[in-house]
Amino acid sequence: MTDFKQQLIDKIKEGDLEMKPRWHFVVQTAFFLAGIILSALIVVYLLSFITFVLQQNGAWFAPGYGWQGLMLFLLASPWIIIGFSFLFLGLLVILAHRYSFCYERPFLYTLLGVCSIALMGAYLAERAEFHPRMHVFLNQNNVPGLAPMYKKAETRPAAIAAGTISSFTENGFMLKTESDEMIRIVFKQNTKLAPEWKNEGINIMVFGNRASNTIIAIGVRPEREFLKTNRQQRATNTVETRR
Amino acid sequence: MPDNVESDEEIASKVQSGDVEAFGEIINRYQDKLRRYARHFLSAEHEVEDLVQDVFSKAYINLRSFDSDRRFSPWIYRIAHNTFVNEIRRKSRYGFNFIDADTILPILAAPETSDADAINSELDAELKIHLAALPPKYREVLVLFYFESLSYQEIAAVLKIPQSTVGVRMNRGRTKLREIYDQEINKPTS
Repeated sequence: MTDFKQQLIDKIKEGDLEMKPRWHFVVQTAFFLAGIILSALIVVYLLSFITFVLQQNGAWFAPGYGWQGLMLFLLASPWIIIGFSFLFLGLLVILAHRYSFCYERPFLYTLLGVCSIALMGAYLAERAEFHPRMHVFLNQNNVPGLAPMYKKAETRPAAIAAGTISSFTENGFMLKTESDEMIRIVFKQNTKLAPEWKNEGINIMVFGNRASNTIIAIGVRPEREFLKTNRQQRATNTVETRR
Repeated sequence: MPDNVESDEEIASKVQSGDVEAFGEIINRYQDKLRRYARHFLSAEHEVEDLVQDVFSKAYINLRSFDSDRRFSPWIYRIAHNTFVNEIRRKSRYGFNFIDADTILPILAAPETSDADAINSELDAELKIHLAALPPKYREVLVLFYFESLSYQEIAAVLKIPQSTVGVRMNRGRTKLREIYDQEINKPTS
Protein backbone atom coordinates (compact mmCIF):
# COMPACT_ATOMS: atom_id res chain seq x y z
CA MET A 1 0.00 0.00 0.00
CA THR A 2 2.89 2.34 0.78
CA ASP A 3 4.31 1.48 -2.65
CA PHE A 4 1.10 2.56 -4.22
CA LYS A 5 1.26 6.00 -2.60
CA GLN A 6 5.02 6.38 -3.09
CA GLN A 7 4.79 5.45 -6.77
CA LEU A 8 2.31 8.26 -7.39
CA ILE A 9 4.28 10.81 -5.36
CA ASP A 10 7.47 9.83 -7.23
CA LYS A 11 5.69 10.19 -10.56
CA ILE A 12 4.55 13.68 -9.55
CA LYS A 13 8.02 14.70 -8.36
CA GLU A 14 9.66 13.39 -11.52
CA GLY A 15 7.19 15.36 -13.61
CA ASP A 16 5.50 12.31 -15.15
CA LEU A 17 2.22 13.45 -13.64
CA GLU A 18 1.38 17.14 -13.95
CA MET A 19 -1.60 19.13 -12.75
CA LYS A 20 -3.48 20.82 -15.55
CA PRO A 21 -3.30 24.61 -15.15
CA ARG A 22 -6.41 26.50 -13.99
CA TRP A 23 -6.75 28.27 -17.35
CA HIS A 24 -7.26 24.83 -18.96
CA PHE A 25 -10.50 24.42 -16.98
CA VAL A 26 -11.52 28.02 -17.59
CA VAL A 27 -11.10 27.50 -21.35
CA GLN A 28 -12.92 24.15 -21.13
CA THR A 29 -15.87 25.77 -19.33
CA ALA A 30 -15.85 28.65 -21.83
CA PHE A 31 -15.97 26.14 -24.71
CA PHE A 32 -18.87 24.32 -23.07
CA LEU A 33 -20.80 27.54 -22.51
CA ALA A 34 -20.05 28.67 -26.07
CA GLY A 35 -21.27 25.27 -27.29
CA ILE A 36 -24.50 25.67 -25.33
CA ILE A 37 -25.10 29.21 -26.60
CA LEU A 38 -24.22 28.26 -30.19
CA SER A 39 -26.42 25.15 -30.13
CA ALA A 40 -29.30 27.19 -28.65
CA LEU A 41 -28.91 29.85 -31.36
CA ILE A 42 -28.78 27.20 -34.10
CA VAL A 43 -31.91 25.51 -32.71
CA VAL A 44 -33.75 28.86 -32.55
CA TYR A 45 -32.56 29.72 -36.07
CA LEU A 46 -33.64 26.35 -37.49
CA LEU A 47 -37.02 26.31 -35.72
CA SER A 48 -37.84 29.82 -36.91
CA PHE A 49 -36.57 28.91 -40.39
CA ILE A 50 -38.97 25.94 -40.45
CA THR A 51 -41.84 28.35 -39.64
CA PHE A 52 -40.58 30.71 -42.33
CA VAL A 53 -40.41 27.96 -44.97
CA LEU A 54 -43.91 26.77 -44.11
CA GLN A 55 -45.26 30.32 -44.28
CA GLN A 56 -43.45 31.03 -47.53
CA ASN A 57 -44.69 27.91 -49.27
CA GLY A 58 -48.13 28.34 -47.70
CA ALA A 59 -48.27 24.96 -45.96
CA TRP A 60 -48.40 26.69 -42.54
CA PHE A 61 -52.11 27.44 -43.12
CA ALA A 62 -52.99 24.07 -44.67
CA PRO A 63 -53.87 22.13 -41.45
CA GLY A 64 -56.96 24.37 -41.15
CA TYR A 65 -58.45 22.48 -44.10
CA GLY A 66 -58.97 19.04 -42.57
CA TRP A 67 -56.97 15.85 -43.03
CA GLN A 68 -56.23 16.70 -46.66
CA GLY A 69 -54.72 19.98 -45.49
CA LEU A 70 -52.79 18.18 -42.79
CA MET A 71 -51.32 15.77 -45.35
CA LEU A 72 -50.34 18.75 -47.47
CA PHE A 73 -48.68 20.33 -44.44
CA LEU A 74 -46.70 17.16 -43.69
CA LEU A 75 -45.61 16.68 -47.29
CA ALA A 76 -44.48 20.30 -47.63
CA SER A 77 -42.56 20.34 -44.31
CA PRO A 78 -38.76 20.72 -44.55
CA TRP A 79 -37.91 17.37 -42.98
CA ILE A 80 -34.14 17.65 -43.36
CA ILE A 81 -34.14 20.93 -41.43
CA ILE A 82 -36.51 19.41 -38.84
CA GLY A 83 -34.03 16.51 -38.49
CA PHE A 84 -31.14 18.95 -37.94
CA SER A 85 -33.22 20.82 -35.35
CA PHE A 86 -33.69 17.62 -33.35
CA LEU A 87 -29.97 16.88 -33.68
CA PHE A 88 -28.98 20.26 -32.22
CA LEU A 89 -31.74 20.06 -29.62
CA GLY A 90 -30.26 16.73 -28.49
CA LEU A 91 -26.77 18.24 -28.42
CA LEU A 92 -28.08 21.15 -26.35
CA VAL A 93 -29.69 18.80 -23.83
CA ILE A 94 -26.47 16.74 -23.54
CA LEU A 95 -24.33 19.86 -23.02
CA ALA A 96 -26.76 21.35 -20.49
CA HIS A 97 -26.90 18.05 -18.59
CA ARG A 98 -23.30 18.63 -17.47
CA TYR A 99 -24.50 21.38 -15.13
CA SER A 100 -26.12 20.74 -11.76
CA PHE A 101 -29.16 22.93 -12.50
CA CYS A 102 -30.05 20.30 -15.14
CA TYR A 103 -28.91 16.95 -13.75
CA GLU A 104 -30.36 17.69 -10.31
CA ARG A 105 -33.81 17.79 -11.89
CA PRO A 106 -35.70 15.06 -13.74
CA PHE A 107 -34.68 14.72 -17.38
CA LEU A 108 -38.21 15.63 -18.48
CA TYR A 109 -37.82 19.09 -16.89
CA THR A 110 -34.53 19.65 -18.74
CA LEU A 111 -36.13 18.59 -22.01
CA LEU A 112 -39.22 20.76 -21.44
CA GLY A 113 -37.05 23.71 -20.35
CA VAL A 114 -34.79 23.48 -23.41
CA CYS A 115 -37.78 23.06 -25.76
CA SER A 116 -39.63 26.00 -24.17
CA ILE A 117 -36.61 28.29 -24.49
CA ALA A 118 -36.08 27.19 -28.11
CA LEU A 119 -39.76 27.71 -29.01
CA MET A 120 -39.83 31.08 -27.25
CA GLY A 121 -36.72 32.16 -29.19
CA ALA A 122 -38.23 30.93 -32.44
CA TYR A 123 -41.46 32.82 -31.68
CA LEU A 124 -39.55 36.04 -30.99
CA ALA A 125 -37.53 35.59 -34.22
CA GLU A 126 -40.81 35.11 -36.09
CA ARG A 127 -42.41 38.19 -34.49
CA ALA A 128 -39.33 40.26 -35.36
CA GLU A 129 -39.63 39.02 -38.98
CA PHE A 130 -36.00 37.91 -38.79
CA HIS A 131 -36.12 35.54 -41.75
CA PRO A 132 -38.08 37.78 -44.14
CA ARG A 133 -35.50 40.50 -43.42
CA MET A 134 -32.66 37.99 -43.87
CA HIS A 135 -34.22 36.91 -47.15
CA VAL A 136 -34.22 40.48 -48.47
CA PHE A 137 -30.67 41.10 -47.24
CA LEU A 138 -29.31 37.84 -48.71
CA ASN A 139 -31.09 38.49 -51.99
CA GLN A 140 -29.63 42.00 -52.18
CA ASN A 141 -26.12 40.80 -51.48
CA ASN A 142 -26.45 37.50 -53.31
CA VAL A 143 -24.75 35.60 -50.48
CA PRO A 144 -23.62 32.20 -51.81
CA GLY A 145 -25.13 29.16 -50.10
CA LEU A 146 -27.64 31.06 -48.01
CA ALA A 147 -29.41 33.09 -50.73
CA PRO A 148 -30.36 29.93 -52.74
CA MET A 149 -31.51 28.27 -49.49
CA TYR A 150 -33.92 31.14 -48.82
CA LYS A 151 -34.96 31.21 -52.48
CA LYS A 152 -35.78 27.51 -52.30
CA ALA A 153 -38.01 28.19 -49.30
CA GLU A 154 -40.37 30.06 -51.65
CA THR A 155 -41.00 26.96 -53.78
CA ARG A 156 -44.61 26.01 -53.27
CA PRO A 157 -45.94 22.49 -53.50
CA ALA A 158 -48.10 22.00 -56.62
CA ALA A 159 -51.24 21.81 -54.46
CA ILE A 160 -50.77 25.37 -53.15
CA ALA A 161 -50.98 28.41 -55.40
CA ALA A 162 -50.90 32.14 -54.67
CA GLY A 163 -51.69 35.19 -56.76
CA THR A 164 -54.57 37.50 -57.66
CA ILE A 165 -58.03 36.75 -59.03
CA SER A 166 -58.06 37.43 -62.75
CA SER A 167 -61.74 36.65 -63.43
CA PHE A 168 -64.62 34.73 -61.90
CA THR A 169 -66.03 31.58 -63.47
CA GLU A 170 -69.26 29.67 -62.91
CA ASN A 171 -67.83 27.46 -60.16
CA GLY A 172 -64.71 29.31 -59.11
CA PHE A 173 -62.24 31.79 -60.58
CA MET A 174 -59.09 32.15 -62.65
CA LEU A 175 -55.95 32.78 -60.60
CA LYS A 176 -52.99 34.72 -61.98
CA THR A 177 -50.00 33.42 -60.03
CA GLU A 178 -46.79 35.21 -59.04
CA SER A 179 -45.11 33.70 -62.11
CA ASP A 180 -47.94 34.98 -64.40
CA GLU A 181 -49.33 31.48 -64.82
CA MET A 182 -53.12 31.18 -65.15
CA ILE A 183 -54.71 28.47 -62.99
CA ARG A 184 -58.35 27.48 -62.98
CA ILE A 185 -59.70 27.22 -59.43
CA VAL A 186 -62.77 25.02 -58.97
CA PHE A 187 -64.85 25.11 -55.78
CA LYS A 188 -66.29 22.02 -54.17
CA GLN A 189 -69.34 22.04 -51.93
CA ASN A 190 -67.16 22.01 -48.83
CA THR A 191 -64.46 24.45 -49.99
CA LYS A 192 -63.59 26.73 -47.06
CA LEU A 193 -63.53 30.38 -48.11
CA ALA A 194 -62.08 33.07 -45.83
CA PRO A 195 -64.51 36.05 -45.57
CA GLU A 196 -62.07 38.51 -47.16
CA TRP A 197 -61.01 36.32 -50.09
CA LYS A 198 -62.90 38.45 -52.63
CA ASN A 199 -61.52 41.80 -51.41
CA GLU A 200 -60.03 43.91 -54.14
CA GLY A 201 -56.27 44.09 -54.58
CA ILE A 202 -55.35 41.32 -52.16
CA ASN A 203 -53.15 38.33 -52.85
CA ILE A 204 -54.83 35.05 -52.11
CA MET A 205 -53.67 31.50 -51.49
CA VAL A 206 -55.47 28.42 -52.75
CA PHE A 207 -55.11 24.93 -51.30
CA GLY A 208 -56.39 21.79 -53.01
CA ASN A 209 -55.74 18.96 -55.45
CA ARG A 210 -53.96 19.98 -58.58
CA ALA A 211 -54.33 18.33 -61.96
CA SER A 212 -52.50 20.15 -64.75
CA ASN A 213 -53.69 23.78 -64.64
CA THR A 214 -56.69 23.17 -62.43
CA ILE A 215 -56.92 23.09 -58.65
CA ILE A 216 -59.96 21.57 -56.95
CA ALA A 217 -59.91 23.89 -53.93
CA ILE A 218 -60.28 22.76 -50.34
CA GLY A 219 -59.60 26.28 -49.06
CA VAL A 220 -58.99 29.88 -50.11
CA ARG A 221 -57.51 32.57 -47.86
CA PRO A 222 -55.69 35.88 -48.19
CA GLU A 223 -51.90 35.76 -48.20
CA ARG A 224 -50.25 37.27 -45.14
CA GLU A 225 -49.41 40.91 -45.75
CA PHE A 226 -45.77 40.74 -44.77
CA LEU A 227 -45.10 37.87 -47.16
CA LYS A 228 -46.62 39.87 -50.01
CA THR A 229 -44.68 43.03 -49.07
CA ASN A 230 -41.53 40.99 -48.71
CA ARG A 231 -41.95 39.43 -52.11
CA GLN A 232 -42.67 42.82 -53.71
CA GLN A 233 -39.60 44.30 -52.03
CA ARG A 234 -37.39 41.50 -53.36
CA ALA A 235 -38.88 41.90 -56.83
CA THR A 236 -38.06 45.65 -56.76
CA ASN A 237 -34.51 44.90 -55.62
CA THR A 238 -34.05 42.35 -58.42
CA VAL A 239 -35.22 44.91 -61.04
CA GLU A 240 -32.85 47.54 -59.60
CA THR A 241 -29.96 45.08 -59.64
CA ARG A 242 -30.67 44.24 -63.29
CA ARG A 243 -30.63 47.96 -64.21
CA MET B 1 -13.40 16.11 14.17
CA PRO B 2 -10.67 17.82 16.32
CA ASP B 3 -9.71 21.37 15.26
CA ASN B 4 -6.09 20.47 14.45
CA VAL B 5 -7.11 17.87 11.85
CA GLU B 6 -7.12 19.42 8.41
CA SER B 7 -10.18 18.89 6.26
CA ASP B 8 -9.94 17.19 2.86
CA GLU B 9 -10.73 20.53 1.25
CA GLU B 10 -7.84 22.27 3.07
CA ILE B 11 -5.43 19.53 2.00
CA ALA B 12 -6.70 19.75 -1.58
CA SER B 13 -6.04 23.53 -1.47
CA LYS B 14 -2.46 22.85 -0.34
CA VAL B 15 -1.93 20.42 -3.25
CA GLN B 16 -3.38 22.98 -5.63
CA SER B 17 -0.71 25.43 -4.41
CA GLY B 18 2.04 22.92 -5.15
CA ASP B 19 2.44 20.88 -1.92
CA VAL B 20 3.04 17.44 -3.43
CA GLU B 21 3.44 15.69 -0.06
CA ALA B 22 -0.09 16.82 0.89
CA PHE B 23 -1.39 14.68 -1.96
CA GLY B 24 0.01 11.72 -0.03
CA GLU B 25 -2.46 12.54 2.75
CA ILE B 26 -5.34 12.49 0.25
CA ILE B 27 -4.16 9.05 -0.90
CA ASN B 28 -3.96 7.89 2.74
CA ARG B 29 -7.51 9.04 3.41
CA TYR B 30 -9.15 7.71 0.28
CA GLN B 31 -7.26 4.67 -0.98
CA ASP B 32 -9.12 2.15 1.20
CA LYS B 33 -12.48 3.80 0.55
CA LEU B 34 -11.93 3.78 -3.20
CA ARG B 35 -10.65 0.20 -3.20
CA ARG B 36 -13.78 -0.87 -1.32
CA TYR B 37 -15.96 1.12 -3.74
CA ALA B 38 -14.20 -0.46 -6.73
CA ARG B 39 -14.55 -3.98 -5.36
CA HIS B 40 -18.34 -3.65 -5.54
CA PHE B 41 -18.03 -3.36 -9.31
CA LEU B 42 -14.86 -5.22 -10.26
CA SER B 43 -13.84 -8.62 -9.04
CA ALA B 44 -10.17 -8.97 -10.02
CA GLU B 45 -7.90 -7.48 -7.36
CA HIS B 46 -5.21 -6.35 -9.85
CA GLU B 47 -7.93 -4.45 -11.78
CA VAL B 48 -9.06 -2.75 -8.59
CA GLU B 49 -5.50 -1.69 -7.76
CA ASP B 50 -4.83 -0.35 -11.28
CA LEU B 51 -8.10 1.54 -11.44
CA VAL B 52 -7.75 3.10 -7.99
CA GLN B 53 -4.27 4.27 -8.97
CA ASP B 54 -5.84 5.64 -12.16
CA VAL B 55 -8.44 7.52 -10.10
CA PHE B 56 -5.73 9.19 -8.00
CA SER B 57 -3.73 10.09 -11.13
CA LYS B 58 -6.84 11.70 -12.68
CA ALA B 59 -7.66 13.44 -9.40
CA TYR B 60 -4.15 14.95 -9.28
CA ILE B 61 -4.18 15.99 -12.94
CA ASN B 62 -7.59 17.67 -12.59
CA LEU B 63 -7.23 18.98 -9.03
CA ARG B 64 -7.23 22.62 -10.13
CA SER B 65 -10.82 22.14 -11.34
CA PHE B 66 -11.86 21.34 -7.75
CA ASP B 67 -13.56 24.21 -5.95
CA SER B 68 -12.33 24.07 -2.32
CA ASP B 69 -15.56 25.76 -1.15
CA ARG B 70 -17.31 22.48 -1.97
CA ARG B 71 -16.89 19.05 -0.41
CA PHE B 72 -13.97 16.98 -1.68
CA SER B 73 -15.44 13.49 -1.27
CA PRO B 74 -18.24 13.76 -3.90
CA TRP B 75 -15.66 15.21 -6.31
CA ILE B 76 -13.24 12.27 -6.01
CA TYR B 77 -16.08 9.73 -5.98
CA ARG B 78 -17.33 11.28 -9.23
CA ILE B 79 -13.90 10.61 -10.80
CA ALA B 80 -13.98 7.08 -9.39
CA HIS B 81 -17.52 6.48 -10.66
CA ASN B 82 -16.56 7.61 -14.18
CA THR B 83 -13.38 5.53 -14.18
CA PHE B 84 -15.17 2.35 -13.03
CA VAL B 85 -18.15 2.85 -15.34
CA ASN B 86 -15.82 3.37 -18.30
CA GLU B 87 -14.00 0.15 -17.41
CA ILE B 88 -17.30 -1.73 -17.12
CA ARG B 89 -18.49 -0.25 -20.42
CA ARG B 90 -15.21 -1.25 -22.05
CA LYS B 91 -15.83 -4.80 -20.96
CA SER B 92 -19.56 -4.47 -21.80
CA ARG B 93 -20.64 -6.35 -18.73
CA TYR B 94 -23.33 -3.89 -17.81
CA GLY B 95 -25.24 -1.21 -19.64
CA PHE B 96 -24.93 2.23 -18.08
CA ASN B 97 -27.14 4.60 -20.01
CA PHE B 98 -26.96 8.36 -20.31
CA ILE B 99 -30.72 8.51 -19.78
CA ASP B 100 -32.17 6.05 -17.32
CA ALA B 101 -35.92 5.50 -17.08
CA ASP B 102 -36.07 6.58 -13.43
CA THR B 103 -34.36 9.93 -14.13
CA ILE B 104 -36.90 11.03 -16.74
CA LEU B 105 -40.03 11.78 -14.73
CA PRO B 106 -40.32 13.74 -11.47
CA ILE B 107 -40.76 11.37 -8.53
CA LEU B 108 -41.77 11.97 -4.94
CA ALA B 109 -39.53 9.89 -2.67
CA ALA B 110 -41.32 8.18 0.20
CA PRO B 111 -40.37 9.55 3.65
CA GLU B 112 -38.26 7.39 5.98
CA THR B 113 -40.37 5.46 8.51
CA SER B 114 -39.74 5.40 12.28
CA ASP B 115 -38.38 1.84 12.15
CA ALA B 116 -35.93 2.88 9.41
CA ASP B 117 -32.89 2.70 11.72
CA ALA B 118 -33.66 -0.84 12.81
CA ILE B 119 -34.30 -1.87 9.22
CA ASN B 120 -31.12 -0.10 8.11
CA SER B 121 -28.88 -1.85 10.61
CA GLU B 122 -30.45 -5.16 9.64
CA LEU B 123 -29.94 -4.24 6.01
CA ASP B 124 -26.27 -3.41 6.63
CA ALA B 125 -25.58 -7.05 7.30
CA GLU B 126 -27.70 -8.20 4.35
CA LEU B 127 -26.01 -5.69 2.08
CA LYS B 128 -22.56 -7.14 2.56
CA ILE B 129 -23.73 -10.63 1.62
CA HIS B 130 -26.20 -10.05 -1.19
CA LEU B 131 -25.08 -6.80 -2.78
CA ALA B 132 -23.44 -8.52 -5.75
CA ALA B 133 -26.82 -9.90 -6.84
CA LEU B 134 -28.32 -6.42 -7.25
CA PRO B 135 -28.37 -4.56 -10.59
CA PRO B 136 -25.45 -2.03 -10.69
CA LYS B 137 -27.64 1.09 -10.56
CA TYR B 138 -29.21 0.02 -7.24
CA ARG B 139 -25.97 -1.41 -5.90
CA GLU B 140 -24.08 1.83 -6.46
CA VAL B 141 -26.43 4.10 -4.47
CA LEU B 142 -26.54 1.58 -1.60
CA VAL B 143 -22.74 1.31 -1.54
CA LEU B 144 -22.29 5.09 -1.55
CA PHE B 145 -24.90 5.57 1.18
CA TYR B 146 -24.14 2.68 3.55
CA PHE B 147 -20.42 2.09 3.05
CA GLU B 148 -19.12 5.48 1.96
CA SER B 149 -21.54 7.52 4.13
CA LEU B 150 -22.42 9.99 1.40
CA SER B 151 -25.65 11.99 1.71
CA TYR B 152 -28.41 11.82 -0.92
CA GLN B 153 -27.28 15.19 -2.23
CA GLU B 154 -23.67 14.01 -2.55
CA ILE B 155 -24.71 10.75 -4.23
CA ALA B 156 -26.79 12.81 -6.67
CA ALA B 157 -23.69 14.89 -7.45
CA VAL B 158 -21.47 11.78 -7.90
CA LEU B 159 -23.93 10.03 -10.22
CA LYS B 160 -25.30 13.23 -11.81
CA ILE B 161 -28.89 12.21 -11.23
CA PRO B 162 -31.75 13.98 -9.40
CA GLN B 163 -31.89 13.53 -5.60
CA SER B 164 -35.40 12.11 -5.92
CA THR B 165 -33.96 9.39 -8.19
CA VAL B 166 -31.37 8.56 -5.52
CA GLY B 167 -34.25 8.09 -3.07
CA VAL B 168 -36.17 5.88 -5.46
CA ARG B 169 -33.12 3.73 -6.23
CA MET B 170 -32.41 3.41 -2.51
CA ASN B 171 -35.96 2.20 -1.84
CA ARG B 172 -36.03 -0.17 -4.81
CA GLY B 173 -32.55 -1.43 -3.97
CA ARG B 174 -33.59 -2.18 -0.39
CA THR B 175 -36.76 -3.93 -1.57
CA LYS B 176 -34.84 -6.05 -4.06
CA LEU B 177 -32.26 -6.86 -1.42
CA ARG B 178 -35.05 -7.92 0.95
CA GLU B 179 -36.49 -10.16 -1.81
CA ILE B 180 -33.08 -11.75 -2.43
CA TYR B 181 -32.66 -12.25 1.32
CA ASP B 182 -36.15 -13.80 1.68
CA GLN B 183 -35.49 -16.15 -1.22
CA GLU B 184 -32.24 -17.21 0.42
CA ILE B 185 -33.75 -18.01 3.81
CA ASN B 186 -36.78 -19.76 2.29
CA LYS B 187 -34.60 -21.91 0.07
CA PRO B 188 -35.11 -25.59 1.02
CA THR B 189 -31.97 -27.08 2.49
CA SER B 190 -30.86 -30.26 0.70
